[in-house]
Amino acid sequence: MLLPKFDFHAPETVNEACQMLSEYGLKAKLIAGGTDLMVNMKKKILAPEQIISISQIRELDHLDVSGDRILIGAGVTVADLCESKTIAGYLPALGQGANNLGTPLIRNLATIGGNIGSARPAADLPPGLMAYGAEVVLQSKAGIRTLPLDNFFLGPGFTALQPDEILTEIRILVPPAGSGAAYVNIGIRKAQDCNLVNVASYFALDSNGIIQNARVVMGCVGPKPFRAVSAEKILIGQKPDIQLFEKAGEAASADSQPIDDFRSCATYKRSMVGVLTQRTLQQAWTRIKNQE
Amino acid sequence: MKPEYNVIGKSLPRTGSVDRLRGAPVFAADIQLENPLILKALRSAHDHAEVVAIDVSKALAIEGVVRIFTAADIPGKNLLGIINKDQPLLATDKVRSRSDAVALVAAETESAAHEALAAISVTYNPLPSVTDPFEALKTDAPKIHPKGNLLFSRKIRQGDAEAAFAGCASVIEKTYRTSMIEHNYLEPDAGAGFVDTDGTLVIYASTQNPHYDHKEVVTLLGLGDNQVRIIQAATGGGFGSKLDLNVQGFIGLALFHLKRPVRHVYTREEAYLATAKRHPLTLTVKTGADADGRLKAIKAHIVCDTGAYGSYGIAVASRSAVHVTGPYEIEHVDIESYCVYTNKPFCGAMRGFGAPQVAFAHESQIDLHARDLGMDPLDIRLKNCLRVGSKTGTGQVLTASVGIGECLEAVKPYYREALESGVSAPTHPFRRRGIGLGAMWYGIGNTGVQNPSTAGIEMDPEGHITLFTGCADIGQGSTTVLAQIAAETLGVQPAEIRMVVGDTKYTTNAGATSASRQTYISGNAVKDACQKLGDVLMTEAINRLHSPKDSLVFQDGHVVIKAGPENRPEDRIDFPCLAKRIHAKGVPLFWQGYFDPETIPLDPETGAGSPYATYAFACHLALLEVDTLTGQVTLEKLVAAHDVGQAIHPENVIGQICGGAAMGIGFALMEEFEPQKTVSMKDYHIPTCADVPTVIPIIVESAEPSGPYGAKGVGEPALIPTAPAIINAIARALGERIYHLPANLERVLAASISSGHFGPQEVTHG
Repeated sequence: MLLPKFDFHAPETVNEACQMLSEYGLKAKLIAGGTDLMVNMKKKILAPEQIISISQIRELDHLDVSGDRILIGAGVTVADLCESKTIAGYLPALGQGANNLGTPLIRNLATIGGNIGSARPAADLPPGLMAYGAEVVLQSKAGIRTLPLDNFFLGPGFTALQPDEILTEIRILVPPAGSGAAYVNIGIRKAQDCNLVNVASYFALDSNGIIQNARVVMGCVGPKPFRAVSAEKILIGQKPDIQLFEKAGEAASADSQPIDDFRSCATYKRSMVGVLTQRTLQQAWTRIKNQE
Repeated sequence: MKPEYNVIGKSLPRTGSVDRLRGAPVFAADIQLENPLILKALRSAHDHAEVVAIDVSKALAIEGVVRIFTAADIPGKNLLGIINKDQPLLATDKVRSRSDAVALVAAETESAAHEALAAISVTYNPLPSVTDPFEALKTDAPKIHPKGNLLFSRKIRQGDAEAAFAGCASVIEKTYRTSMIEHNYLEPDAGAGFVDTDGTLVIYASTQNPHYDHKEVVTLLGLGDNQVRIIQAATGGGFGSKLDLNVQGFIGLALFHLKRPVRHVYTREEAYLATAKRHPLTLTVKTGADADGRLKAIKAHIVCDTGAYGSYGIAVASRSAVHVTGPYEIEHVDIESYCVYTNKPFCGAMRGFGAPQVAFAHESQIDLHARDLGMDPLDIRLKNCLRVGSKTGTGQVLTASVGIGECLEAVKPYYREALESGVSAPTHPFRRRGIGLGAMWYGIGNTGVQNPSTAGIEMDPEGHITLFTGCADIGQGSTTVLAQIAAETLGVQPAEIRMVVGDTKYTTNAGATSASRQTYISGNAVKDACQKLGDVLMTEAINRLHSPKDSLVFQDGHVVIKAGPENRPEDRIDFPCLAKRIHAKGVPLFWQGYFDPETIPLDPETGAGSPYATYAFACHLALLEVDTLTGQVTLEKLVAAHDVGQAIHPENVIGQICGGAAMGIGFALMEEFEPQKTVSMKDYHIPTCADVPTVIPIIVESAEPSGPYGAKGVGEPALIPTAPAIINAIARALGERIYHLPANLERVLAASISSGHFGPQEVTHG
């Protein structure tokens, strides 16, 4: 299981990395924790000539609250997310995703940027991030642009990231008072597993206790994590209760597009989208009630 | 009263630990050879096909490719198999599964070897294939082997089962299915070899049976016994799969022709593709019990799918038949077990040889009777369990060491406590708790066939002791245990005994490390050898100490007059002194030990006989929670009581129990090998530590009189009761039972739905 041959670079600034990317283009791959790239290289699925490590770039390691936004550097590890009080306090659904990702060994290496950038439909972090309405910051030699995470994923392994761009930061508005979110995943076993279904839900109440904003995000049941639009429509404008969550679950189930594979049949996954939608909404509501 | 021992029952540091901790190259893949060639096997592209032609010319042209072997290069007999010989090392006229090797590449580098594999052109003529054993038994099914698709059948008949059912208050008939399972030992198969200066082919292998490997390689290459030497490298687990010849034959073939060092290391994917699996079983079991819950009759029809080759299939079919009664007394028995070829990857030995599969059935049946009759599952087991004096399904009368009752009693407090704490009472809208029992019996050693072990012990004239054993330690700790047995017998410390293990140049056949047989059978062979040496030492000591034999004992490397009040120097004599004198007299100081368990072969028609000299027993208790809306099962606790006769090394026993429980969880809930789909550990799920709950091991010691210091075995028993306990707990939680393993998410959810537990209305609060 030897790796294909490659040149290795370890720039210390984003600018330096962008310079290298612009030079090498499609011949280069970024590496952070390497938990995805190394597997694909060992399997000979990928054989980049140039590997640019972003692990030495300190400016990608931040995790701060700045004004009304939470800023997470793309190099923040999943273990850091698990331990962060900021995440636990403001973004518990992301924390749930982080805590359910891989194993302690993987969590110590894998980064939030990598988990997004690899664009696996079953990844643990994107549903929570999308539920919170996260934006990603993409930087190249030409400049910086931001993109809602909703628009970032294009398909399994495919994203809006250009060959010369680096995903540098994730930005999330501090969730307002009266909002809550949760993430739940199901796999064949309790850890170190590719999810069969994962769902994150978020909703925010207005001062009358009416849901004014809702996002339900499903993973594993389509080519990329995506929003259950009909479930969100059902939620918005209503008061949260069990029956409403049930209806939202049914709608999410109908929105999902699971496929049969040897690990699980589509019927099961579709049914679980409903169950997990209900459960995440229920947990989100509990979190809102606990704020009061 | 339990006897007092010096080293038996003490958890001493394991032999070989230091080398492993230092990272010494003890495993076959790490063995350093000068400039070794890399071997890689090309596997079949079809389930079933004629091999019309193999064109290696393009592959040979690749730089670094040294040679490509096909069946034509095999100088001896190209047919392998420990019980029946039906498996070619390299395909001859046809392939019978995708595991079949068609050609073997020897190359200077790994990449050249890989390139060569892709460049070999094989012309196949595909044949119709059959993957279902019931289909394979039909007369018009594709014929996989010349003699047909039925490899073996075993019948056991005692009394009149049909008539007995008529008088039963509860009669239950169900069909059970289990999955094909991959062993997933930590170390994928590996070996290396070189040709010694005297021309001997020396092969290091990760193996469970070096002496079998030796015979097989000798026959394959048409060589004499002395021309091949197998050395067991440190072996990172086997669970039965390293009983077959995996890399050994390929290495032998390459050494024979090329006379250059070679290595052959499987990737995990190759270990998945090319090595044996656990037999999937389909069994229909009908049992009857009277109104008091006493089991009266059993009728069982068992089909074992052995895939393309026999391997240990015959043993699995035979053991399944014997064990399907469970550890219970049942007077009327009518059992048939069939071993059937299909075009799937071959199935062979795996921890339990069919016993885990049939335990799933017999433990489900007894719970069904308990429910049917309104009895407690523990009570019904206690009522039926085997005792001293009981007659088994094969008519064997058990005379000692029948610890199933003690195992059941040992879990009783945990079981009662769980019941009293309201384990089944719903506390949550979509979670149900369950508690389940699983019991088992397991015959130690091979089924009704001779399976002796031998051992050698030597004292040099300076009094140093060396033990020679062909017994492969595959991580379970047999080397430590055998050293303990020798040390106890000779009154020394295990660390003082030099161990020579698994090297066919120096050791003699100890049989396979399988069937939980090594502690019992090789332990006895070691003890026999040590007693012979001990007799010689004693005889000399009688002369020196002028004291009768029954007054003498071995103690700390001396023979000592026991019960002497004062510890006088003239009451003791050390081993060097004795050895020197014995040697001077020309009396041998090397002794060979032998043991074969006393068995009576099973009658081909009635199955009557005594297939094993002794049985291990166990009972597990599982506490778990089922998510009724997702089908997820969360284990809370496992209590595992095992009658091992005597624990020679209690920590090893506990290790086996905990490891077995983990494997049992996989068998129960998630493991299922699907050819061409589950190609690696990425797709095939085994439990992680997050899936394994607290395991409370309980060692029950119902001493076996014929065992070394009372010991039996525990390697396989550890796994067997876990899955039944889990399945029974799920059934109790849901009120609905699963008959098809694994009880994966979808099957548990289906059971939840059919029991009425699934439904959004269940979610009433957060």
